[in-house]
Amino acid sequence: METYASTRELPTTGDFASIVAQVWQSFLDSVIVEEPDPSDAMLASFHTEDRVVGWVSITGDWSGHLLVTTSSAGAREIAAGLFELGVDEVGNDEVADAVGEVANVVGGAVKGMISEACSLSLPQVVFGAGMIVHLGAEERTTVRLMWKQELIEVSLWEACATANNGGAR
Amino acid sequence: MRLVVADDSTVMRRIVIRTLRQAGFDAEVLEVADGRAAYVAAIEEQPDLVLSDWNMPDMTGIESLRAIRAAGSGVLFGFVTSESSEAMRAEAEAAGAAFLITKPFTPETFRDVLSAFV
Repeated sequence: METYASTRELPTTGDFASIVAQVWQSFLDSVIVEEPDPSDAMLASFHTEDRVVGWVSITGDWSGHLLVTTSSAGAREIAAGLFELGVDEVGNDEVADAVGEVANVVGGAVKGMISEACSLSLPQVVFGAGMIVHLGAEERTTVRLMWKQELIEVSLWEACATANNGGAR
Repeated sequence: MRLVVADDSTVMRRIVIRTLRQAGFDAEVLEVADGRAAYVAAIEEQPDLVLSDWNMPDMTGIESLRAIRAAGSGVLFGFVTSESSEAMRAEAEAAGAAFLITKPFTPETFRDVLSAFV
């Protein structure tokens, strides 16, 4: 595998946590905290086949993807909070819209920290993402946060010509 | 106030409308989900203000604004977008936008920006 070394300074996990905290404060009137050392039980709940991933792609003089990943339950909590509905009242359309928009807002802020000469794609959302995410990119920065007992992972992947590890984990 | 809110995300339109209300603005709102619909609404409905996302399918926000101005409309137009580089701000201003609000925003942001115009 060809190695890939980026010389560009990328946002730190602290930057990510700060951006996500702002989104939660502004749109959910809620506090989300970094969870640097999730318990085995939390990880087991997170690493299931029903994960939901929302992402935006960044292209330009730096190219990659910003992913927001959470459990199905976490995604429903996000949708319920943003739509101001009960968790039983949100369906897949609301979940996809909400998780995609979180990725879009976080991705816009992250893109602004990386380069002005980039553009952002429309958000995309995948349900049951445990097995199918493959991005042709390498993971650069990841932060895990805890909200309503659910892990929410925000990660930045840099596109590379010969990545053969993909994004599947 | 009659307002058009253009965003391809349903939840973001809800958040924008909720935040306007929290900021104290009472508006009759028409929601549209792409840039072409924003253009049509701006021309046909002649609202007091168009609040538009930048990145949308079927005409982006900036394409929509340029089409609105090309059609001779001087409707007050502002962006509400997750991206905000200096280049985008300059592009927005050159196309005739009055302001650009960055997501995430608060009621205070809306009050500070919009009170100068409406």
